[in-house]
Amino acid sequence: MKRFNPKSITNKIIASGLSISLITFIFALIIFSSSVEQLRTTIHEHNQYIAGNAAESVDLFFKTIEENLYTAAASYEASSILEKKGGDLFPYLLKLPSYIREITVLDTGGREISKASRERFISRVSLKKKAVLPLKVLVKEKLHFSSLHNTSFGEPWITVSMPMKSGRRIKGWLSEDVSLRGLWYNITGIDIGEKGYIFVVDENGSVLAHPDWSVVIKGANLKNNHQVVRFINKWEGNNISPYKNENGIEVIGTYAVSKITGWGIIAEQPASEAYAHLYNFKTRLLILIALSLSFAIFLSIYLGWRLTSPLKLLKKEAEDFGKGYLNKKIIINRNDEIGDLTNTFNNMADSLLEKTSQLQLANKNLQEMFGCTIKSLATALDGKSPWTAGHSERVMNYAVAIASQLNDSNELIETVKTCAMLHDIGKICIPDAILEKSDLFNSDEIRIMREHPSYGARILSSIKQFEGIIPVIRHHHEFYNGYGYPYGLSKDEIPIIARILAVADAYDAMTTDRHYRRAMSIDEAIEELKRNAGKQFDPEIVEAFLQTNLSEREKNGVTLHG
Amino acid sequence: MYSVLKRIPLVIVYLLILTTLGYPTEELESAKKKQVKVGIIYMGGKSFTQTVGGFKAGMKDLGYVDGKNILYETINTSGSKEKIANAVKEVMEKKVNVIYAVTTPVTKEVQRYTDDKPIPVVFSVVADPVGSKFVKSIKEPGGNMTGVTNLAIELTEKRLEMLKRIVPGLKKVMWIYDPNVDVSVRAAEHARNVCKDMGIGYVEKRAGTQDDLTKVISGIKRSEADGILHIVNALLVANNKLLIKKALDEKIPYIATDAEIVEEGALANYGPNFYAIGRQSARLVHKVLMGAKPGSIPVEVPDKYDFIINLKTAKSIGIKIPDNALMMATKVIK
Repeated sequence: MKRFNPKSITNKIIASGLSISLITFIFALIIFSSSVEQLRTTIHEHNQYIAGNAAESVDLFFKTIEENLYTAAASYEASSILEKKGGDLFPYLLKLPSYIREITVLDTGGREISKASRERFISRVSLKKKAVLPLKVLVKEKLHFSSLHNTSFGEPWITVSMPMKSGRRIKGWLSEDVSLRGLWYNITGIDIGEKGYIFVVDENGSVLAHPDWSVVIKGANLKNNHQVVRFINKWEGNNISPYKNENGIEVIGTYAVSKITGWGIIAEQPASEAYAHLYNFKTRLLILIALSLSFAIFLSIYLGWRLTSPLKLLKKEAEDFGKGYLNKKIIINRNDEIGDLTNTFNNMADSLLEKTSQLQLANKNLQEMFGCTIKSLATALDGKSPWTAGHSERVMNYAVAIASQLNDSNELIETVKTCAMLHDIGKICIPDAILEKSDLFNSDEIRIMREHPSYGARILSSIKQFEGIIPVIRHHHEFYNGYGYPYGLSKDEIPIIARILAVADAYDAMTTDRHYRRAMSIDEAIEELKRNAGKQFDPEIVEAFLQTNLSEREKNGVTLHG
Repeated sequence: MYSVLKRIPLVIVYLLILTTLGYPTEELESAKKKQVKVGIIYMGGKSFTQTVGGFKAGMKDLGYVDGKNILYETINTSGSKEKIANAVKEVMEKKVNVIYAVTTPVTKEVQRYTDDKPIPVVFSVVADPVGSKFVKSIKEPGGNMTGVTNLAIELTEKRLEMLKRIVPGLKKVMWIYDPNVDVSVRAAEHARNVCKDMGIGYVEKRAGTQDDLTKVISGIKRSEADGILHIVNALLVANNKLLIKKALDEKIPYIATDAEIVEEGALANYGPNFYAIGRQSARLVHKVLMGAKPGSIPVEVPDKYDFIINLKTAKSIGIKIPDNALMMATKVIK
C-alpha cells in the first residue's frame, strides 16, 4: 500500500459514502429521540389505565357488598332475629356469594346476637358479648369498614357493617365478614405486561395486597416508596420519570385510588422492562447504523477499487507509451468512461506511432539530402579543376579506412566522411588563377593559398550543425610538430579528424597527377609518409593508414599505379 | 465468469442488509414463553378425578393450552404406595416444573422424594397440612409446598351441625376413626369437643386395619346412634361402600365428606366442592409457574362448599328432611 493520499478517488468515495450514511442515521436518531418521549408517555398512560381499572374493580366489589348488606339488613331473617323472634342466618348466608364467609346480626350496643359461618359452627355461647363495633360507628349510622385482618388461615378478611333501620331509627347492625382473597388475586394477578405488578396499600402505606404474599404477611409498610408517597399526599401531575422502589430496582409507577375504601392501588414496572421495546428498537437502530456504516465503507472501497484499478493500468501503459513502447495495446473492456479513455489512449498510440514513422522517414530523407548536399558541394569544388576531381571522395575513402581502423564508432565515421568531403571547400574563395597555375607558386600565392582552411571554416561557420566539423576544416593543414598552418598547433591540439585528414590528403596528393608534377608510386608515397611521421603526420595515424593500405593491396593483389 | 465473480461482493452486501432489517427482536419475547410441564399425581375415584378435571379447566382459563405452552403428566395411582412412589419418580424424570398432588397419601410420597430435589409442589384435598408436616404454618408454608386444604377436620363441626339440621332429634352420633393415622385421631378429638359444645352424645369406633373395619361396620346397630358422622379416615374411604350399605340397612342417617359418598348412598354431605378445589389449585400452580416460591404462598381454604342431600336414601331410611334444610342444599339427589 502506498502512502495514504486523502485526495485519492477511493478515499473520496469512502468519505461520501460515510457522509450519506451518517446523515441519514442522524436524522433517524433525531426522529427516534422525539418519539421516545411520546412512547414513554404512552406506556405510562397504559399503566395508569390499568391501575385505574383495578381501583374501579375494588370499588365495584365493595359496591356489591354494600348492596348485599343493604338487602341483608332489610331481610326478613335479620329483622326477625333482632326482634327476638328467632331465626336462622345460615340458609341466608348460603345464598350469598361465596366470598361472604360469615354474617352477624348485632344489637344497638354493638353486641353479637346471631352469627352464621360457612366453616364454623357458631353456638350461642361463642357469640361475643362485648361490643364489636366502635362507639363512634354506632353513633354515625353509616357503612363501616373494619381494618383488614388476616385469619388464621392467612385469608384477608374485612368486616363490613351497616345499620339496620326501621324508618329512621336504628334497630341494630348487620355485619358481613368478607374474604378479599378472590379480589386480591384478581387485582395482583392483572397482567400489566413486561414484569409489571400491582399492589394495594391503605392510607398509611401498609400493604394490604401484593403479588408476593409474604410481603403482606410480614406486615410491610411501604410509605417510603415514592409512588406510595404520591398516593398518600395526593400528588398529581407528571410522573414519567423512573425512581428506585423499596428493593432498589429502577421502576416506573402510577397510582389510582379506590373511592369507597380510600385504598391506593399502585402499579409498578421495572423501567428496563417497560422500556424494553424502546431499548430493543434503539439497539436495533444502532446495530443498523454500525452495519450500514461498515457496508458504506466496504462498498466505497470496492467501488474505488473498481474505478482506480483500470486507471492505474492506464497510467502504466501511458508511461510505457511515453518511453516509446507504442505497440502495446491497453486491454480494458468496459462500457463506461474509463473504457472510452482507454480507446482514446489506444487511438492516440496508433496515431503517434504513425507520425513517429513519418518523422523517422522524413529524418531519413533529410539525412540523405544532407549527405547529397555535401557531396554536391564537394563535387562543385572538385569540378573547378580536373586535377582535383574526385580528390575529396578519395580522401574520404582513405580517411574512413583510417578511422575504421582506429575506432568503430559510426558517428565518428559519419563526421569523418563529412569533414573529408568538405575539407577543401575553402578553395572556392581562392582565385582560379592561383588554383590553375601550373608553375610553382610565389610567396604571395602561397600565402593566399594557405588561407583556404580559414576560408573553409568561415564558409561553414554559419551552419550550426557543422560545429564539430569547422575546427577540422580549419586545422587540416596543421603539422604534428607544430610547423603547420594557420595556427601552428601541434600534436593533440590538432583535432583527431584533422590529423587523419592530413595523412589522407597528403597521400592522395602524392598518388595523383598534378598539373605541376606527375604522381609518385605507392611505395614512394608510403616512404614519404613514413619519413614524415612524427613531423608532419601523427605517427599513430600513419601506422593505421599503412595497415589499411597493406590489407587493401593484399586484397587487390595488384599495386595501383605501377 | 469473472463478471459473475465481480458481482459477488455486492450480492453479499445486499443479503447482509436484508438480514439486518429482518433482525428478530420479537425472538426475545417468544423465548420467554417456554413450554412448562406439570406433573399431576392423584388417586382414582370420582371425586379426585373431578379435582383433576377442575384443575385442568382452571389452568385452561389462565391461558395454558395443553400441548402448546403446557404439558401434563397425569398419573392415577389408585391406592398402593409403590404405585405412588413410581409415579413420583416418573414425573421427576420428566423434569416437570411443578408437581400437583391430590390427597394426603400422594402428597406424603411426593414430599419424600422431593425432599432433596426441591421441586415446587402444590397439594390439594389435604386435611392437615401442618400436622402432616407439609408446611410450617398455614400463613407461611416456608418450604417448597403449598396448596388447598379440604378442612376435613375443621368442618367436622359444620357437618355435625348439618346433620342436626337434617335430623333435628339427633341425640347421639357415631363415628369410626383410624387410630394409626394421626389426622384421623385429631379429627376424632375435634368431633368429641364439638359434641360437647353441642350437647350431643357420641359413640366412637376404632379400626386400624381392613379386617377390623369390616368387623366394626358389620357390628353397627340402629340402636347405637341417631346418625353416623364421617370423619377423616382414609381406610374408611377405601371401604366406604360397606358403611353406606350398613347405614342404609340399619336405616341410620349418614353424613359424609364428599359428593361421591352421597351419590353412592349416604344421606348427605357438607364439604368442599372437589372440582372447585381443582380450579383453585390451578391459581396456585399458575403463581408458582410465574416464579413465586411456594413457601411464600399461604395455604388456602376451599372457596366453595356443597351441601348435598340424597332423597332416595332419605326415603329408604324413612327420614323426612326438614324443608329449611332442603332449601339450603346445593344439590339434591332424587
